[in-house]
Amino acid sequence: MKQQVKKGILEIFVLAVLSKGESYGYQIINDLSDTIVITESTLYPILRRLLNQGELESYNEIFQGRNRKYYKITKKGKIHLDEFMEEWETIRKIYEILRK
Amino acid sequence: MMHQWLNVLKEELNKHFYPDEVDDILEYYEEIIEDRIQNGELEEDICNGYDPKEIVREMMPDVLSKRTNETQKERFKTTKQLWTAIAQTSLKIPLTIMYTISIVLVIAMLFSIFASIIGSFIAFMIYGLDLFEAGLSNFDKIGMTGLALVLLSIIGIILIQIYRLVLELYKKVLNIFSGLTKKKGDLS
Repeated sequence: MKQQVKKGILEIFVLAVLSKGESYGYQIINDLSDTIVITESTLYPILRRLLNQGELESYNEIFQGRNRKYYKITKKGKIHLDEFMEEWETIRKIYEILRK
Repeated sequence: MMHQWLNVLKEELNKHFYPDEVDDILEYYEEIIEDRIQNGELEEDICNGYDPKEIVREMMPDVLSKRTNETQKERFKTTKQLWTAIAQTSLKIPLTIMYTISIVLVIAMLFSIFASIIGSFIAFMIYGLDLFEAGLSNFDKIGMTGLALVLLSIIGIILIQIYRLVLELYKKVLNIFSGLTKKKGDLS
């Protein structure tokens, strides 16, 4: 897959996982692992970018005496997902034409 | 084991990033390693599976594009690191050429401003010496010196303004190229 496409897809993946509920680093990697292999070093810049773009929010919570950073999707993040769904709809139509 | 590895990572990160960036990355890895241990993985296997250099490489484009480059030290660091980061993008050859040309131009401009400032001072000194050898009256000497000082100040002010503009241009160049690197540089 072209790098550019893949990069955008990974952001969508992360947003999609978080649209199902708040999560933290390890859990996100695990949830994604059914669909795509993503390493910690790949996930970190994506999370950071999404936080900077205001598509995610984060907060810290103490879990068994240690800190855990939770990520939560924002309104802006949801809009990003909606836009993706619309684009995907167009792509799906093209796909259908090709298959016929 | 984990703390040893985190120290190795910290050292590697410190070479490239600023303390707040380093702390954030370290916290992230500490949390994930602890989670992985809790889920039954061996501490040793986890740490051996990570490559600090790889972590730095993946981080670089994002960190660079976030910097403001306000101080000379920061600008210098970014200028250097951008070369490495650009070389890892999908457009490395055209981007490296464009970046190198831009940086050389900016540095050349900074040097010429510097040279102009020194040049003006030297010219002023020579003018002063000439003035004293020309056998003018004291009154004329004071008048001419005053005039030269006024001119020197005007040139100084203009040069400082140009210097500021070039610095802004420099920051802009760093900004544009970090942005491009970020866009083209996702290795995933």
